[in-house]
Amino acid sequence: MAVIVLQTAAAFLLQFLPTTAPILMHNLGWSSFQFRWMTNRNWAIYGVVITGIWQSSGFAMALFLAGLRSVDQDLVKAAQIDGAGPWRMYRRVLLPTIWPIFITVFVILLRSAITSFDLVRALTGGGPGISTMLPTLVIYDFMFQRSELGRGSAAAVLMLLSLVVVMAPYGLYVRWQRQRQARA
Amino acid sequence: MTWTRVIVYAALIVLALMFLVPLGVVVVNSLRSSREIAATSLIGWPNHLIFSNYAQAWNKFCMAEHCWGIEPYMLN
Repeated sequence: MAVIVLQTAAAFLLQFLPTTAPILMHNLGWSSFQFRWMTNRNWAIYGVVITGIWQSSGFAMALFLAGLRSVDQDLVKAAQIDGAGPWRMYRRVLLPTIWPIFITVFVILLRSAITSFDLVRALTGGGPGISTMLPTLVIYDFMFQRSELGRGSAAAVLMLLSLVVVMAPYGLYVRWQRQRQARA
Repeated sequence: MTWTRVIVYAALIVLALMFLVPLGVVVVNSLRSSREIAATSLIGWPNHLIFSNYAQAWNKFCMAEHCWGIEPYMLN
């Protein structure tokens, strides 16, 4: 469900937690229960991270599922005939086969984490204080709240460079992999 | 080169420009002062190249109660 739900919608859902969770817990008998993750400076970032993981885990699962379904069944049967158990099958056959999907998922999620804006904006707005301020929110603040367009643009370029640091090695890796497959 | 190919290349160039122009505006604006941008236009060449925007954006810009710039948020 999290894959098809927009990040702002996910944040909207999570905004109900601080009010609904204590009511539910109090009705269940846990009268001292409190949910202050989004209002506590030290815990707000973890609330954002957990929401982000929930929101993006479906996408990662879909890619892993596609990868697992694309594994050659002959390899699996050959390993079973050779006496490989489930653990050994995963470690020696399935994981090495879907290893490129791990890298793809890691890079895509890292890119979306760096450029994450709407989830944090809708969930906490960077607060409380500046405890959940991310680079994109800083750039937004520079450009649209303080009209510091020059500095905001410089911060945006710095963020672009950080994305290049992540994406360029991945692009080179994909190219190297294609060349290796073409040679094989 | 056929006419079809010319049209395809022209469309691709237009689309590439649509993608790259905003990026170019941001890069050029990062070398202009905010005062100059406010006095002239959002789109334009810088009168003087100002590289201090990068230094200030990186670790000097004040936000809320701290003057850490974007550095701690980038390195988080």
